[in-house]
Amino acid sequence: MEKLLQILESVKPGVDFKASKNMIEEGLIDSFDMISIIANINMEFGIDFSVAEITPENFATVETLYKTIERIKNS
Amino acid sequence: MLKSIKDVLEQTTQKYKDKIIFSEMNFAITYQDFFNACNNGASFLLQKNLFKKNIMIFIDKSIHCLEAMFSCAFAGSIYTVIDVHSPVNRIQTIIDTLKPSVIIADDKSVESCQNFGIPVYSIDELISYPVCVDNLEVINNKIIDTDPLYILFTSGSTGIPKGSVITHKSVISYAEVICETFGIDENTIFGSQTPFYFSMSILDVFATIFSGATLHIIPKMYFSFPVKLIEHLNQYKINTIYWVPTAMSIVANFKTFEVLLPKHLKTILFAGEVMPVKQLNVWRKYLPHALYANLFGPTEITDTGTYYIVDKDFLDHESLPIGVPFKNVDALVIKDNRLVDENEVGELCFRGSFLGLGYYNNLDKTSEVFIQNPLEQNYPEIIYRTGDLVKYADDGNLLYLGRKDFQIKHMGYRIELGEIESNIIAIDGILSCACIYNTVENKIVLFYQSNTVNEEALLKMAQEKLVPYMVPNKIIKLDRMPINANGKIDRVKLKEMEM
Repeated sequence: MEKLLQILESVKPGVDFKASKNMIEEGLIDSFDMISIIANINMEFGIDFSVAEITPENFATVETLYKTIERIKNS
Repeated sequence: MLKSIKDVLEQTTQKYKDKIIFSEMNFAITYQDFFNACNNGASFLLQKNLFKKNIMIFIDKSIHCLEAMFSCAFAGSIYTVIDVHSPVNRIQTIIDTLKPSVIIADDKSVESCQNFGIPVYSIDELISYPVCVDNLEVINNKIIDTDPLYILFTSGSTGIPKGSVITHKSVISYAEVICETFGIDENTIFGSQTPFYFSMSILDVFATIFSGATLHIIPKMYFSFPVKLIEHLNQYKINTIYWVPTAMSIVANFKTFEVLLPKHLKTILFAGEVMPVKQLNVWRKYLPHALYANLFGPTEITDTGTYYIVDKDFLDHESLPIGVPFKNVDALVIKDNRLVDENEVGELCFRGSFLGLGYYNNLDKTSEVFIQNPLEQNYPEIIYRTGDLVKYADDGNLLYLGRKDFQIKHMGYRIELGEIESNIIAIDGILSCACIYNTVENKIVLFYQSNTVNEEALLKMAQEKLVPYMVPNKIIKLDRMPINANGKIDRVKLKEMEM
Protein backbone atom coordinates (compact mmCIF):
# COMPACT_ATOMS: atom_id res chain seq x y z
CA MET A 1 0.00 0.00 0.00
CA GLU A 2 2.84 2.38 0.90
CA LYS A 3 4.54 1.53 -2.37
CA LEU A 4 1.38 2.34 -4.29
CA LEU A 5 0.98 5.67 -2.51
CA GLN A 6 4.58 6.49 -3.35
CA ILE A 7 3.91 5.79 -7.03
CA LEU A 8 0.83 7.99 -7.06
CA GLU A 9 2.62 10.79 -5.26
CA SER A 10 5.62 10.62 -7.57
CA VAL A 11 3.32 11.07 -10.57
CA LYS A 12 1.21 13.77 -8.93
CA PRO A 13 3.24 15.42 -6.16
CA GLY A 14 1.33 17.30 -3.51
CA VAL A 15 -1.97 15.48 -3.99
CA ASP A 16 -3.52 13.80 -0.95
CA PHE A 17 -4.59 10.51 -2.51
CA LYS A 18 -5.35 8.91 0.88
CA ALA A 19 -8.06 11.46 1.59
CA SER A 20 -9.72 11.07 -1.79
CA LYS A 21 -13.13 9.40 -1.93
CA ASN A 22 -12.90 9.04 -5.69
CA MET A 23 -9.70 9.92 -7.53
CA ILE A 24 -11.39 9.96 -10.93
CA GLU A 25 -14.49 11.98 -10.10
CA GLU A 26 -12.39 14.50 -8.21
CA GLY A 27 -10.21 14.87 -11.29
CA LEU A 28 -6.98 13.94 -9.48
CA ILE A 29 -5.67 11.83 -12.34
CA ASP A 30 -6.09 12.39 -16.07
CA SER A 31 -5.21 10.25 -19.07
CA PHE A 32 -1.58 11.36 -19.10
CA ASP A 33 -1.20 10.41 -15.43
CA MET A 34 -2.81 7.09 -16.17
CA ILE A 35 -0.03 6.05 -18.53
CA SER A 36 2.70 6.77 -16.00
CA ILE A 37 0.79 5.30 -13.06
CA ILE A 38 0.20 2.02 -14.84
CA ALA A 39 3.74 1.88 -16.19
CA ASN A 40 5.06 2.35 -12.65
CA ILE A 41 2.70 -0.16 -11.09
CA ASN A 42 3.70 -2.76 -13.67
CA MET A 43 7.35 -2.18 -12.92
CA GLU A 44 7.19 -1.90 -9.12
CA PHE A 45 4.77 -4.78 -8.57
CA GLY A 46 6.01 -6.94 -11.43
CA ILE A 47 2.58 -7.36 -12.92
CA ASP A 48 0.97 -6.76 -16.29
CA PHE A 49 -2.05 -4.51 -15.91
CA SER A 50 -4.43 -5.57 -18.67
CA VAL A 51 -6.60 -2.95 -20.32
CA ALA A 52 -9.74 -4.69 -19.08
CA GLU A 53 -8.64 -3.91 -15.50
CA ILE A 54 -8.28 -0.19 -16.23
CA THR A 55 -11.73 0.84 -15.06
CA PRO A 56 -13.09 3.77 -13.03
CA GLU A 57 -14.14 1.26 -10.35
CA ASN A 58 -10.62 -0.13 -9.92
CA PHE A 59 -9.12 3.35 -9.86
CA ALA A 60 -11.70 4.89 -7.52
CA THR A 61 -9.53 4.96 -4.39
CA VAL A 62 -6.08 3.89 -3.25
CA GLU A 63 -7.72 0.86 -1.57
CA THR A 64 -9.61 -0.33 -4.64
CA LEU A 65 -6.51 0.09 -6.75
CA TYR A 66 -4.41 -1.82 -4.24
CA LYS A 67 -6.94 -4.65 -4.16
CA THR A 68 -6.87 -4.80 -7.95
CA ILE A 69 -3.09 -5.08 -7.95
CA GLU A 70 -3.21 -7.88 -5.38
CA ARG A 71 -5.84 -9.69 -7.41
CA ILE A 72 -3.79 -9.46 -10.62
CA LYS A 73 -0.70 -10.61 -8.74
CA ASN A 74 -2.42 -13.69 -7.35
CA SER A 75 -4.19 -14.70 -10.51
CA MET B 1 -25.22 33.80 -49.52
CA LEU B 2 -23.81 32.46 -46.26
CA LYS B 3 -21.91 35.36 -44.75
CA SER B 4 -22.26 34.66 -41.03
CA ILE B 5 -22.24 31.62 -38.78
CA LYS B 6 -25.88 32.40 -38.04
CA ASP B 7 -26.72 32.11 -41.75
CA VAL B 8 -25.05 28.70 -41.81
CA LEU B 9 -26.84 27.38 -38.74
CA GLU B 10 -30.17 28.82 -39.89
CA GLN B 11 -29.92 27.07 -43.24
CA THR B 12 -28.99 23.72 -41.67
CA THR B 13 -31.68 24.06 -39.01
CA GLN B 14 -34.36 24.55 -41.65
CA LYS B 15 -33.35 21.24 -43.19
CA TYR B 16 -32.72 19.15 -40.07
CA LYS B 17 -34.72 20.86 -37.35
CA ASP B 18 -35.60 17.74 -35.31
CA LYS B 19 -32.21 16.13 -35.66
CA ILE B 20 -29.76 16.09 -32.73
CA ILE B 21 -27.06 18.71 -33.22
CA PHE B 22 -25.10 18.27 -29.97
CA SER B 23 -25.15 15.59 -27.31
CA GLU B 24 -23.33 14.97 -24.04
CA MET B 25 -23.56 12.29 -21.33
CA ASN B 26 -27.07 13.00 -20.07
CA PHE B 27 -28.40 15.56 -22.48
CA ALA B 28 -28.97 16.13 -26.18
CA ILE B 29 -30.44 19.05 -28.11
CA THR B 30 -32.01 19.33 -31.57
CA TYR B 31 -31.03 21.83 -34.24
CA GLN B 32 -34.25 23.79 -33.71
CA ASP B 33 -33.99 23.96 -29.92
CA PHE B 34 -30.34 24.91 -30.11
CA PHE B 35 -31.02 27.61 -32.69
CA ASN B 36 -33.79 29.03 -30.51
CA ALA B 37 -31.61 29.01 -27.40
CA CYS B 38 -28.93 30.98 -29.23
CA ASN B 39 -31.51 33.53 -30.38
CA ASN B 40 -32.47 33.97 -26.72
CA GLY B 41 -28.85 34.37 -25.73
CA ALA B 42 -28.13 36.80 -28.55
CA SER B 43 -31.18 38.91 -27.63
CA PHE B 44 -29.77 39.22 -24.12
CA LEU B 45 -26.36 40.32 -25.42
CA LEU B 46 -27.87 42.85 -27.84
CA GLN B 47 -29.76 44.58 -25.07
CA LYS B 48 -26.38 45.03 -23.36
CA ASN B 49 -24.96 46.61 -26.56
CA LEU B 50 -22.27 44.02 -27.12
CA PHE B 51 -22.13 44.10 -30.93
CA LYS B 52 -18.46 43.71 -31.95
CA LYS B 53 -17.42 43.62 -28.29
CA ASN B 54 -15.22 40.92 -26.76
CA ILE B 55 -16.88 38.34 -24.56
CA MET B 56 -15.05 35.77 -22.47
CA ILE B 57 -16.73 32.39 -22.03
CA PHE B 58 -15.87 30.68 -18.79
CA ILE B 59 -17.68 27.36 -19.12
CA ASP B 60 -16.31 23.82 -19.14
CA LYS B 61 -16.73 21.79 -22.34
CA SER B 62 -20.50 21.27 -22.61
CA ILE B 63 -23.60 22.12 -24.62
CA HIS B 64 -23.91 25.21 -22.43
CA CYS B 65 -20.50 26.34 -23.67
CA LEU B 66 -21.66 25.88 -27.28
CA GLU B 67 -24.82 27.87 -26.53
CA ALA B 68 -22.65 30.70 -25.22
CA MET B 69 -20.38 30.57 -28.30
CA PHE B 70 -23.26 30.68 -30.78
CA SER B 71 -25.18 33.31 -28.79
CA CYS B 72 -22.15 35.56 -29.19
CA ALA B 73 -21.88 34.72 -32.89
CA PHE B 74 -25.56 35.52 -33.44
CA ALA B 75 -25.14 38.86 -31.65
CA GLY B 76 -22.08 39.84 -33.67
CA SER B 77 -19.94 39.70 -30.52
CA ILE B 78 -16.46 38.20 -30.53
CA TYR B 79 -16.03 35.28 -28.15
CA THR B 80 -13.04 33.74 -26.42
CA VAL B 81 -13.44 30.37 -24.74
CA ILE B 82 -11.19 30.05 -21.71
CA ASP B 83 -9.73 26.92 -20.18
CA VAL B 84 -11.52 27.06 -16.84
CA HIS B 85 -8.78 24.95 -15.26
CA SER B 86 -5.91 27.20 -16.26
CA PRO B 87 -4.07 29.12 -13.53
CA VAL B 88 -5.56 32.47 -12.52
CA ASN B 89 -2.49 34.40 -13.67
CA ARG B 90 -2.76 32.96 -17.18
CA ILE B 91 -6.41 33.98 -17.32
CA GLN B 92 -5.41 37.42 -16.06
CA THR B 93 -2.82 37.90 -18.86
CA ILE B 94 -5.50 36.96 -21.39
CA ILE B 95 -7.92 39.45 -19.80
CA ASP B 96 -5.23 42.14 -19.93
CA THR B 97 -4.82 41.60 -23.68
CA LEU B 98 -8.47 41.01 -24.53
CA LYS B 99 -10.19 43.49 -22.18
CA PRO B 100 -13.50 41.63 -22.48
CA SER B 101 -16.69 43.61 -21.88
CA VAL B 102 -18.46 40.77 -20.12
CA ILE B 103 -17.94 37.18 -19.01
CA ILE B 104 -20.44 34.39 -19.61
CA ALA B 105 -20.18 31.68 -16.96
CA ASP B 106 -22.20 28.73 -15.73
CA ASP B 107 -23.63 28.16 -12.27
CA LYS B 108 -20.42 26.51 -11.14
CA SER B 109 -18.15 29.39 -12.07
CA VAL B 110 -20.26 32.57 -11.77
CA GLU B 111 -18.97 33.28 -8.30
CA SER B 112 -15.26 32.72 -8.99
CA CYS B 113 -15.50 34.96 -12.09
CA GLN B 114 -16.66 37.92 -10.00
CA ASN B 115 -13.04 38.42 -8.91
CA PHE B 116 -11.98 39.58 -12.37
CA GLY B 117 -13.87 42.88 -11.98
CA ILE B 118 -15.87 42.39 -15.20
CA PRO B 119 -19.68 41.96 -15.37
CA VAL B 120 -20.55 38.24 -15.24
CA TYR B 121 -23.76 36.72 -16.62
CA SER B 122 -24.88 33.14 -16.32
CA ILE B 123 -25.65 31.11 -19.44
CA ASP B 124 -29.03 30.20 -17.91
CA GLU B 125 -29.90 33.89 -17.78
CA LEU B 126 -28.96 34.26 -21.46
CA ILE B 127 -30.89 31.35 -22.88
CA SER B 128 -34.05 32.14 -20.96
CA TYR B 129 -34.12 35.77 -22.13
CA PRO B 130 -37.09 36.67 -24.37
CA VAL B 131 -36.27 36.76 -28.07
CA CYS B 132 -36.36 40.05 -29.90
CA VAL B 133 -36.65 38.96 -33.55
CA ASP B 134 -36.34 42.43 -35.11
CA ASN B 135 -33.09 43.32 -33.34
CA LEU B 136 -31.59 39.95 -34.23
CA GLU B 137 -32.29 40.48 -37.88
CA VAL B 138 -30.88 44.00 -37.91
CA ILE B 139 -27.68 42.76 -36.30
CA ASN B 140 -27.27 39.73 -38.56
CA ASN B 141 -27.62 42.05 -41.55
CA LYS B 142 -24.85 44.22 -40.13
CA ILE B 143 -22.37 41.33 -39.83
CA ILE B 144 -20.08 40.95 -42.83
CA ASP B 145 -18.05 37.80 -43.38
CA THR B 146 -14.71 39.47 -42.64
CA ASP B 147 -15.88 40.36 -39.11
CA PRO B 148 -14.18 38.41 -36.32
CA LEU B 149 -16.07 35.44 -34.90
CA TYR B 150 -13.70 34.45 -32.11
CA ILE B 151 -10.27 35.01 -30.65
CA LEU B 152 -8.35 31.91 -29.69
CA PHE B 153 -5.34 32.08 -27.39
CA THR B 154 -2.32 29.85 -27.81
CA SER B 155 0.74 29.74 -25.62
CA GLY B 156 3.43 31.95 -27.07
CA SER B 157 7.03 30.81 -26.86
CA THR B 158 7.70 33.83 -24.65
CA GLY B 159 5.07 32.71 -22.18
CA ILE B 160 2.56 35.45 -23.06
CA PRO B 161 -0.49 33.97 -24.81
CA LYS B 162 -1.26 35.24 -28.33
CA GLY B 163 -4.87 35.67 -29.43
CA SER B 164 -5.56 34.69 -33.05
CA VAL B 165 -8.48 36.64 -34.50
CA ILE B 166 -10.58 34.45 -36.82
CA THR B 167 -13.42 35.66 -39.03
CA HIS B 168 -16.82 34.21 -39.98
CA LYS B 169 -15.49 33.83 -43.51
CA SER B 170 -12.49 31.71 -42.50
CA VAL B 171 -14.61 29.35 -40.43
CA ILE B 172 -17.33 28.98 -43.09
CA SER B 173 -14.73 28.37 -45.78
CA TYR B 174 -12.90 25.83 -43.61
CA ALA B 175 -16.06 23.95 -42.63
CA GLU B 176 -17.17 23.72 -46.24
CA VAL B 177 -13.84 22.36 -47.45
CA ILE B 178 -13.65 19.83 -44.61
CA CYS B 179 -17.13 18.48 -45.35
CA GLU B 180 -16.29 18.12 -49.02
CA THR B 181 -12.87 16.54 -48.50
CA PHE B 182 -13.88 13.93 -45.92
CA GLY B 183 -17.51 13.37 -46.88
CA ILE B 184 -18.93 14.86 -43.68
CA ASP B 185 -22.74 14.91 -43.98
CA GLU B 186 -25.97 14.49 -42.03
CA ASN B 187 -25.02 10.87 -41.28
CA THR B 188 -21.81 11.86 -39.55
CA ILE B 189 -21.60 11.50 -35.78
CA PHE B 190 -18.47 13.16 -34.41
CA GLY B 191 -16.93 12.00 -31.14
CA SER B 192 -15.41 15.23 -29.92
CA GLN B 193 -12.19 15.00 -27.92
CA THR B 194 -10.50 18.40 -28.16
CA PRO B 195 -11.36 21.33 -25.87
CA PHE B 196 -13.34 24.27 -27.28
CA TYR B 197 -10.43 26.61 -26.49
CA PHE B 198 -8.24 24.57 -28.86
CA SER B 199 -8.30 25.19 -32.64
CA MET B 200 -8.91 21.55 -33.54
CA SER B 201 -12.44 21.84 -32.14
CA ILE B 202 -13.27 24.27 -34.96
CA LEU B 203 -13.32 21.32 -37.34
CA ASP B 204 -15.82 19.13 -35.50
CA VAL B 205 -18.08 21.92 -34.27
CA PHE B 206 -18.41 23.87 -37.51
CA ALA B 207 -18.33 20.93 -39.93
CA THR B 208 -21.26 19.66 -37.83
CA ILE B 209 -23.39 22.79 -38.22
CA PHE B 210 -22.43 23.09 -41.88
CA SER B 211 -23.54 19.58 -42.82
CA GLY B 212 -26.35 18.68 -40.44
CA ALA B 213 -24.16 16.18 -38.58
CA THR B 214 -24.25 15.39 -34.85
CA LEU B 215 -21.44 16.16 -32.44
CA HIS B 216 -21.17 14.14 -29.26
CA ILE B 217 -18.99 15.45 -26.45
CA ILE B 218 -16.96 12.58 -24.99
CA PRO B 219 -16.36 13.14 -21.27
CA LYS B 220 -12.66 13.79 -20.70
CA MET B 221 -12.47 11.07 -18.06
CA TYR B 222 -13.07 8.36 -20.67
CA PHE B 223 -9.67 8.98 -22.21
CA SER B 224 -8.17 7.48 -19.04
CA PHE B 225 -10.15 4.26 -19.50
CA PRO B 226 -9.65 2.96 -23.02
CA VAL B 227 -12.19 0.12 -22.86
CA LYS B 228 -14.85 2.46 -21.48
CA LEU B 229 -13.94 4.91 -24.21
CA ILE B 230 -14.56 2.37 -26.97
CA GLU B 231 -17.82 1.25 -25.30
CA HIS B 232 -18.82 4.89 -25.27
CA LEU B 233 -18.03 5.29 -28.99
CA ASN B 234 -20.18 2.24 -29.71
CA GLN B 235 -23.02 3.39 -27.48
CA TYR B 236 -23.28 6.75 -29.26
CA LYS B 237 -22.62 5.18 -32.70
CA ILE B 238 -19.69 7.52 -33.30
CA ASN B 239 -18.39 7.15 -36.84
CA THR B 240 -15.97 10.07 -37.13
CA ILE B 241 -13.22 11.32 -34.83
CA TYR B 242 -10.68 14.11 -35.01
CA TRP B 243 -8.35 13.55 -32.07
CA VAL B 244 -4.84 14.48 -30.99
CA PRO B 245 -2.37 11.62 -31.56
CA THR B 246 -1.83 11.32 -27.80
CA ALA B 247 -5.46 10.25 -27.34
CA MET B 248 -5.13 7.70 -30.13
CA SER B 249 -1.83 6.43 -28.73
CA ILE B 250 -3.33 5.75 -25.30
CA VAL B 251 -5.84 3.41 -26.92
CA ALA B 252 -3.10 1.68 -28.94
CA ASN B 253 -0.56 1.43 -26.09
CA PHE B 254 -2.96 -0.26 -23.69
CA LYS B 255 -3.82 -2.92 -26.33
CA THR B 256 -7.47 -1.93 -26.08
CA PHE B 257 -8.44 -3.42 -29.43
CA GLU B 258 -7.59 -6.92 -28.21
CA VAL B 259 -10.61 -6.54 -25.93
CA LEU B 260 -13.04 -4.41 -27.90
CA LEU B 261 -13.35 -2.72 -31.29
CA PRO B 262 -15.17 0.48 -32.24
CA LYS B 263 -18.07 -0.77 -34.36
CA HIS B 264 -19.10 2.33 -36.26
CA LEU B 265 -15.85 4.23 -36.76
CA LYS B 266 -15.21 5.04 -40.43
CA THR B 267 -13.30 8.31 -40.53
CA ILE B 268 -10.28 8.90 -38.31
CA LEU B 269 -8.64 12.31 -38.54
CA PHE B 270 -5.79 13.56 -36.41
CA ALA B 271 -3.62 16.64 -36.02
CA GLY B 272 -2.00 18.80 -33.38
CA GLU B 273 1.29 16.94 -33.11
CA VAL B 274 3.21 14.26 -34.98
CA MET B 275 1.27 11.00 -35.14
CA PRO B 276 3.66 8.17 -34.25
CA VAL B 277 3.35 5.56 -37.02
CA LYS B 278 3.88 2.72 -34.56
CA GLN B 279 0.61 3.55 -32.81
CA LEU B 280 -1.17 4.38 -36.06
CA ASN B 281 -0.25 0.93 -37.34
CA VAL B 282 -2.04 -0.63 -34.37
CA TRP B 283 -5.20 1.26 -35.33
CA ARG B 284 -4.83 0.29 -38.98
CA LYS B 285 -4.33 -3.37 -38.10
CA TYR B 286 -7.61 -3.55 -36.20
CA LEU B 287 -9.62 -1.09 -38.29
CA PRO B 288 -8.21 -1.64 -41.77
CA HIS B 289 -11.17 -0.18 -43.66
CA ALA B 290 -11.37 3.20 -41.97
CA LEU B 291 -10.14 6.37 -43.66
CA TYR B 292 -7.14 7.84 -41.86
CA ALA B 293 -5.95 11.37 -42.52
CA ASN B 294 -3.14 13.44 -41.08
CA LEU B 295 -4.07 17.13 -40.97
CA PHE B 296 -1.59 19.91 -40.51
CA GLY B 297 -1.68 23.60 -39.78
CA PRO B 298 -1.75 26.29 -37.11
CA THR B 299 -4.47 28.14 -35.16
CA GLU B 300 -3.61 31.30 -37.11
CA ILE B 301 -5.19 29.85 -40.26
CA THR B 302 -8.32 28.63 -38.41
CA ASP B 303 -7.18 25.04 -37.94
CA THR B 304 -5.29 23.17 -40.64
CA GLY B 305 -4.18 23.85 -44.22
CA THR B 306 -2.88 20.54 -45.53
CA TYR B 307 -4.00 16.93 -45.28
CA TYR B 308 -2.69 13.49 -46.14
CA ILE B 309 -5.05 10.57 -46.59
CA VAL B 310 -3.06 7.50 -45.54
CA ASP B 311 -3.01 5.45 -48.72
CA LYS B 312 -0.11 3.05 -48.24
CA ASP B 313 1.77 1.14 -45.56
CA PHE B 314 4.37 2.81 -43.38
CA LEU B 315 7.04 1.16 -41.27
CA ASP B 316 7.06 2.02 -37.57
CA HIS B 317 10.06 4.32 -37.85
CA GLU B 318 8.82 6.20 -40.93
CA SER B 319 6.92 9.45 -40.64
CA LEU B 320 3.65 10.40 -42.27
CA PRO B 321 3.61 13.15 -44.88
CA ILE B 322 1.49 16.22 -44.14
CA GLY B 323 0.19 15.93 -47.67
CA VAL B 324 -1.24 18.57 -49.93
CA PRO B 325 -3.13 21.82 -49.36
CA PHE B 326 -6.91 21.69 -49.02
CA LYS B 327 -9.01 23.10 -51.82
CA ASN B 328 -9.13 26.91 -51.69
CA VAL B 329 -5.84 27.16 -49.74
CA ASP B 330 -2.39 27.63 -51.12
CA ALA B 331 0.68 26.27 -49.38
CA LEU B 332 3.94 27.94 -50.38
CA VAL B 333 7.34 26.60 -49.42
CA ILE B 334 9.63 29.58 -49.26
CA LYS B 335 13.36 30.02 -48.80
CA ASP B 336 15.18 33.33 -49.21
CA ASN B 337 12.02 34.98 -50.58
CA ARG B 338 11.59 32.46 -53.38
CA LEU B 339 9.90 29.08 -53.82
CA VAL B 340 12.14 26.12 -53.01
CA ASP B 341 13.64 23.84 -55.63
CA GLU B 342 13.30 20.08 -55.60
CA ASN B 343 14.60 18.54 -52.38
CA GLU B 344 15.22 21.90 -50.82
CA VAL B 345 13.93 22.67 -47.32
CA GLY B 346 11.88 25.82 -46.83
CA GLU B 347 9.36 27.48 -44.54
CA LEU B 348 5.71 26.52 -44.99
CA CYS B 349 3.51 29.57 -45.69
CA PHE B 350 -0.24 29.78 -46.31
CA ARG B 351 -2.40 32.05 -48.39
CA GLY B 352 -6.18 32.12 -48.71
CA SER B 353 -9.52 32.43 -46.93
CA PHE B 354 -8.53 30.35 -43.88
CA LEU B 355 -6.06 33.04 -42.78
CA GLY B 356 -7.00 34.85 -39.61
CA LEU B 357 -6.60 38.58 -39.18
CA GLY B 358 -3.58 38.36 -36.87
CA TYR B 359 -2.98 38.57 -33.13
CA TYR B 360 -5.36 40.64 -31.05
CA ASN B 361 -3.85 43.79 -29.64
CA ASN B 362 -0.39 42.84 -30.87
CA LEU B 363 0.59 44.48 -34.16
CA ASP B 364 4.29 43.74 -33.67
CA LYS B 365 3.86 39.97 -33.41
CA THR B 366 1.28 40.08 -36.21
CA SER B 367 3.57 41.82 -38.68
CA GLU B 368 6.34 39.31 -37.96
CA VAL B 369 4.34 36.39 -39.30
CA PHE B 370 1.51 37.87 -41.37
CA ILE B 371 3.65 39.32 -44.13
CA GLN B 372 3.41 40.58 -47.68
CA ASN B 373 3.78 37.67 -50.07
CA PRO B 374 7.42 38.01 -51.20
CA LEU B 375 6.45 36.51 -54.57
CA GLU B 376 3.92 39.24 -55.26
CA GLN B 377 5.28 42.71 -55.94
CA ASN B 378 2.29 44.32 -57.58
CA TYR B 379 -0.53 44.34 -55.06
CA PRO B 380 -0.94 43.75 -51.34
CA GLU B 381 -1.34 40.10 -50.44
CA ILE B 382 -0.83 38.73 -46.94
CA ILE B 383 0.57 35.27 -46.31
CA TYR B 384 1.10 33.53 -42.98
CA ARG B 385 4.53 32.14 -42.13
CA THR B 386 4.13 29.03 -39.99
CA GLY B 387 7.71 28.68 -38.77
CA ASP B 388 7.50 25.02 -39.85
CA LEU B 389 10.21 23.54 -42.06
CA VAL B 390 9.00 21.30 -44.87
CA LYS B 391 10.05 19.87 -48.20
CA TYR B 392 8.37 18.06 -51.07
CA ALA B 393 8.60 14.28 -51.37
CA ASP B 394 8.99 12.80 -54.84
CA ASP B 395 5.25 12.09 -55.02
CA GLY B 396 4.42 15.77 -54.39
CA ASN B 397 3.36 15.34 -50.77
CA LEU B 398 4.75 17.79 -48.24
CA LEU B 399 6.96 16.37 -45.51
CA TYR B 400 7.17 18.01 -42.11
CA LEU B 401 10.73 18.28 -40.85
CA GLY B 402 10.39 20.31 -37.69
CA ARG B 403 10.05 23.78 -36.28
CA LYS B 404 12.33 26.54 -37.48
CA ASP B 405 13.02 27.17 -33.82
CA PHE B 406 13.74 23.43 -33.24
CA GLN B 407 16.33 23.39 -35.96
CA ILE B 408 19.71 23.49 -34.32
CA LYS B 409 23.30 23.67 -35.35
CA HIS B 410 25.37 21.11 -33.52
CA MET B 411 29.02 20.33 -34.22
CA GLY B 412 28.58 22.24 -37.47
CA TYR B 413 25.66 20.11 -38.61
CA ARG B 414 22.14 21.37 -39.14
CA ILE B 415 19.87 19.03 -37.20
CA GLU B 416 16.11 18.71 -36.87
CA LEU B 417 15.33 17.68 -33.32
CA GLY B 418 12.11 16.19 -34.73
CA GLU B 419 14.13 13.73 -36.77
CA ILE B 420 15.82 12.41 -33.65
CA GLU B 421 12.45 12.16 -31.91
CA SER B 422 10.79 10.20 -34.71
CA ASN B 423 13.62 7.66 -34.59
CA ILE B 424 13.48 7.28 -30.82
CA ILE B 425 9.69 6.97 -30.59
CA ALA B 426 9.82 4.06 -33.04
CA ILE B 427 11.86 2.01 -30.55
CA ASP B 428 9.82 -0.68 -28.80
CA GLY B 429 8.78 0.30 -25.30
CA ILE B 430 9.21 4.06 -25.73
CA LEU B 431 5.94 5.74 -24.77
CA SER B 432 6.89 9.30 -25.58
CA CYS B 433 9.97 11.42 -26.08
CA ALA B 434 11.15 14.96 -26.76
CA CYS B 435 14.50 16.53 -27.57
CA ILE B 436 15.75 19.94 -26.60
CA TYR B 437 19.03 21.64 -27.28
CA ASN B 438 21.04 22.98 -24.39
CA THR B 439 22.55 26.04 -26.04
CA VAL B 440 24.85 26.76 -23.10
CA GLU B 441 26.65 23.43 -23.09
CA ASN B 442 25.92 22.59 -26.76
CA LYS B 443 24.23 19.35 -25.87
CA ILE B 444 21.33 17.47 -27.41
CA VAL B 445 19.18 16.37 -24.49
CA LEU B 446 16.61 13.61 -24.92
CA PHE B 447 13.74 13.16 -22.47
CA TYR B 448 11.66 10.02 -22.66
CA GLN B 449 9.05 7.93 -20.92
CA SER B 450 9.17 4.15 -20.82
CA ASN B 451 8.62 1.29 -18.40
CA THR B 452 10.94 -1.18 -20.05
CA VAL B 453 13.87 0.70 -21.55
CA ASN B 454 16.54 2.24 -19.32
CA GLU B 455 18.84 5.11 -20.27
CA GLU B 456 21.82 2.90 -21.03
CA ALA B 457 19.88 0.61 -23.36
CA LEU B 458 18.28 3.54 -25.10
CA LEU B 459 21.64 5.16 -25.73
CA LYS B 460 22.86 1.96 -27.36
CA MET B 461 19.81 1.80 -29.62
CA ALA B 462 20.10 5.50 -30.45
CA GLN B 463 23.69 4.93 -31.53
CA GLU B 464 22.55 2.18 -33.87
CA LYS B 465 19.75 4.21 -35.41
CA LEU B 466 21.16 7.71 -35.68
CA VAL B 467 24.12 9.24 -37.42
CA PRO B 468 26.78 9.99 -34.79
CA TYR B 469 26.27 13.76 -34.65
CA MET B 470 22.56 13.26 -33.96
CA VAL B 471 22.98 10.91 -31.01
CA PRO B 472 21.76 12.68 -27.86
CA ASN B 473 24.52 13.79 -25.51
CA LYS B 474 22.33 13.31 -22.52
CA ILE B 475 19.35 11.01 -21.96
CA ILE B 476 16.89 11.58 -19.15
CA LYS B 477 14.10 9.17 -18.26
CA LEU B 478 10.99 10.81 -16.85
CA ASP B 479 8.07 9.25 -14.98
CA ARG B 480 5.83 11.69 -16.76
CA MET B 481 6.34 14.11 -19.65
CA PRO B 482 5.31 17.65 -18.76
CA ILE B 483 2.23 18.62 -20.77
CA ASN B 484 1.15 22.19 -21.55
CA ALA B 485 -2.36 23.66 -21.55
CA ASN B 486 -2.99 22.44 -25.10
CA GLY B 487 -2.13 18.83 -24.25
CA LYS B 488 1.20 18.90 -26.05
CA ILE B 489 4.62 18.11 -24.63
CA ASP B 490 5.76 21.21 -22.75
CA ARG B 491 9.18 21.97 -24.24
CA VAL B 492 9.57 25.20 -22.30
CA LYS B 493 9.30 23.19 -19.08
CA LEU B 494 11.81 20.61 -20.38
CA LYS B 495 14.25 23.39 -21.19
CA GLU B 496 13.83 24.81 -17.70
CA MET B 497 14.46 21.37 -16.21
CA GLU B 498 17.67 21.04 -18.18
CA MET B 499 19.13 24.53 -18.02
